[in-house]
Amino acid sequence: MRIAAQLRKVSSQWRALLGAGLLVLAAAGAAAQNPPLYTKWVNYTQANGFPAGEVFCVTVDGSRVWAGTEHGLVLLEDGRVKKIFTTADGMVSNAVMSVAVDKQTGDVWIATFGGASVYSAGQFRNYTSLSSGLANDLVYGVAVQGKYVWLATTAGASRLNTYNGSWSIFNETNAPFQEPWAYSIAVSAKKVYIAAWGGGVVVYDIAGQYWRPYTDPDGEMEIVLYRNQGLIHNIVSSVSYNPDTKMFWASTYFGLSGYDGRNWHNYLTKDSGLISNFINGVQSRGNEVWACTQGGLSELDYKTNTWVTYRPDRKTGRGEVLITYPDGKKSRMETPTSLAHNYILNMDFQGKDIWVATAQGLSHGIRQP
Amino acid sequence: MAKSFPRIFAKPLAVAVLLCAMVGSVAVTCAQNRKNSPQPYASIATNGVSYAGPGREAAYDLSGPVIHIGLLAPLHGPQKAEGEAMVAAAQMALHDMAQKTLPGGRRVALVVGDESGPSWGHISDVLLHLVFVEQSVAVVTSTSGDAAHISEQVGNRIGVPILTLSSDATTTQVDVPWIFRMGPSDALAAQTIAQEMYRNRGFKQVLLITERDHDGRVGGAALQQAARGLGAPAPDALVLDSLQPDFGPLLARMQAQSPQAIVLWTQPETAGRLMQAIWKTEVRAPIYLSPKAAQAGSGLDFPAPDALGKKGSGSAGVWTVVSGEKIAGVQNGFARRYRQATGTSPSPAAAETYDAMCLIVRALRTTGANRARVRDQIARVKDFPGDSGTISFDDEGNNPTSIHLVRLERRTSPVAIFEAVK
Repeated sequence: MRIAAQLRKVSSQWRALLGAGLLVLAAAGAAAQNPPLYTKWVNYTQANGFPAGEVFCVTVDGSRVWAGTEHGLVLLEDGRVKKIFTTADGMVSNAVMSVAVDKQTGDVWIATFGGASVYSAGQFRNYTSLSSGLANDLVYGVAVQGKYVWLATTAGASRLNTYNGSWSIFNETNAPFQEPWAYSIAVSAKKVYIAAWGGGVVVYDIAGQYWRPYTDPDGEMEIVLYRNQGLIHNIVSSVSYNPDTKMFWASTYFGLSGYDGRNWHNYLTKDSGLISNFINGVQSRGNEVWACTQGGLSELDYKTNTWVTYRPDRKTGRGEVLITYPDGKKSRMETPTSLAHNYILNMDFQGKDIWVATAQGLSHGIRQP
Repeated sequence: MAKSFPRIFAKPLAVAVLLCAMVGSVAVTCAQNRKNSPQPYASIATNGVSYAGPGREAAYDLSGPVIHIGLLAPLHGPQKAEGEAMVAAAQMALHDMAQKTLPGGRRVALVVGDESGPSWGHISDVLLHLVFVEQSVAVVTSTSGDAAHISEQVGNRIGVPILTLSSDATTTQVDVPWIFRMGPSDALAAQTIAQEMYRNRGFKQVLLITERDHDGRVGGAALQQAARGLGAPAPDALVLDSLQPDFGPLLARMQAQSPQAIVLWTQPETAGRLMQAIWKTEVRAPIYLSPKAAQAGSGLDFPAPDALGKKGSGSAGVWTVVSGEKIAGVQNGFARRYRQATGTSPSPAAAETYDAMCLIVRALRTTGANRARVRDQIARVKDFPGDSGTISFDDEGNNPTSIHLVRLERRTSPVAIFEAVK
C-alpha cells in the first residue's frame, strides 16, 4: 500500500512537472507578447480549515490577509489561517462583505450584513443603525479616507468622523444618488467614489464638498447605445480608483467601465477578452485592471489592450489561462493549479501576488517570475 | 378558462361583479417605437441572464425536516390589507400543495416577515432573518419596489431566489439571475395605459400623479417614456408628498387644467384617498391606476356608475391593468375558495402570491431543498397555468404575460379585480 501511494505521489509530481513544462513551452512561444502571468495558485477552502461557501471580499494589509465570508472574518498571516473571527468574538455579524484597514492606526473596519465593526487593539466595537449614525445594517462596502470612514449601505453612504465620532448620511435626498442603495466605496486623496444603484458612480470632492454623478447617458437599462458612450450601466456593483493612472473603474452586471477624466473606456465580452459581463468587483493598479466576474478573473493590461483570464477547468481541475491579444487573436494555456472557483467576487494585491475571493474559497495567485 | 369566460356576461351585473368590463388586450407598441432608433451596441436581452456560481451541489442543500419559504409582506399600516391577502393566499397554496409530500417526507412551512416599519433598517433586518435564521429556500416579496430591490441584492450575494410582486421594471433590468417578477412590469403597464389614452382615445392632456418614493419615480418615468414612445405630448406630472395629505392645491390645479385623463402611480392607500377627493370635485376625467395603486388596501369605494355619467362612455371610470390572457382567478377554484376563507375576493397580489408559492413548492419537489437548484427550476418555468394567468419566465426573469385594461366599478370591499367565474 505504501509503495502504491509513493508511486501515485511520484506520478502526480511528474504530471505537475509536465504541466508546468507545457505551460513554460507554450508561454515561451508567445513570450514576446504575453503579459506577466499567474501560474501557481494556492487555495484556502473548507478542505484545509477555511470556512465553507463564498468568500465575499479580501483585503491585504502587508503580510496579513483579511477575508470576509458568510461564516466570519478570516485572518491569514504568512499564508496560514491564524484566526476566524465571528460574533462569538464580538463582531456584529458573521456575514462579512468588505474590509478596510486604516493605515494610520492599524484599525480594521468591517462591513457586514448586520452593521459595521472595527477591530482595534484586539477588540471589536460595533455600529448598527440603532446604536449609531449608520444608515442601515446592510453594509456592502467600507473605505478609510483620512479621519473619515465611509460605509456603503442599502440606505445610503454613511461617513464617520473618527476624531469626534460624528456621523453624516448621504443618500438620494442630499446627493445625486437617485436611489439610496450604495454598494461599494473607493477613495483617493481628493475624492470618494461610491457605486450607487441607479445613480451610477457618485463622486464626492473632498475639498469642494460637492457631489458629481456619472451615469449611463443612454437612459436605458437594458442596452448600451454606443460603445464608449459613458458609464455602461447605472447599476454599479463596485468601484475602484487607480492612483497610478488617476482613473476610476466601475464594474456592472453588464460590463466594465473606466473613466480617465476625459473619456470613457467600456468593455463587453463581445469586443474584448472580458470573460463575462456579470462583474462583481473591480480593482486596478498600474496598467492592470482586474474584473471579478462570474466566469473567471479577467485582467486587462490597459496600456497594451491585452486580456488574460484565469479560471479553473471544471473537467480537469487544472487552471486555464486565456489570453486575448490586441489584434483579437487568442491563445490558451493550462496550469497545474487553478483558482478555487470561476465565480469571482473580489481581489486584492500583495506585491506582485494577488489574492482572490471566490464563491468556493480564497485563492492566492503567484506571478510567474 | 376559455369556456368560462363568456359566463361572466351571463351573470347578473348586480350580483356580479366588482370587476365590470374588460376591454381587449392592448397591443404593446414598444417594438414599433424603436424602429427608428439606432441599433444599440449591446443588449442585455440578447445576452440572457445566467448564474455561473456554485450552490447546486448536495453540500449546499438545506437540512432539517421542515423547509421554509419566506414571505416579505406588509402586515401593518396602509398596506396591511395587501399583506394579509398575501399571507392568506400563501397559506392556501401550501395547503393545496401539501397534498403531495416532498422527497424524504419533508414538510414546507411559511415564514412571514413584516416589511412594514418606519425605516429601511426594518425591511433589511426582517429579510436577513428570513434568509439566515429561517434559512428560507426562497423569498416572495410584496408589491413594494424597495423590498424587491433589497431582497434582490441580498439574494444575489447570498444566493436566494426572489419571486417578487413588484411591478418595478428595473428589478429585472440589472442582469441579476436570482429575481423573478410574477406580474406585469411598470413599463408594460405604462405602455398599455399610454396606448389606450393617447392612441385609442386620442387624449392630449394627461395628468400624471406620482408619489415621492421609489415606486412613484420609476413608474412615473415609465409612463413618461411610454408617452414619448408614442410621440404623444408629455403628461403634466405632479409629485405627491405622502406626508402632506392635503390635496387642496392639487385639486385646485386639477380643476383649472381639466385634464382629459388622470394617471395615479401611487400607493394604493393614497390612490383611494385621492380618488375620493377627486370625485367630490367637478373633475370627471377617467382615472388610470398603476398595478400597485389598484392593490388591496386602497380602501377604494367606487361611486355608482350613474354618479359618473354615462356608463362606458369613456368619459369617466377607473381603469387599471391586469395580467393574463383571460380573467384570472378561476384555476382550481382559487378565487371561490379564497373568498370562502377570507370573506373577500382575491386581489392581484393574492393571486400572484398563490402562484409564487406553488412554483416554489413545485420546484422543491423536483430539485429538493437547494436554493440554486430551485432558482434553476423556476427559471425554466414555461406556460404554468397560474391563478394570476399563464406564467412563463424569460431570460431576464420577467413574466412576459399579456396584459389587459379593466374597468373597475363600485365595490364595497377591498379591491377585487379577480372575480371567480363559476
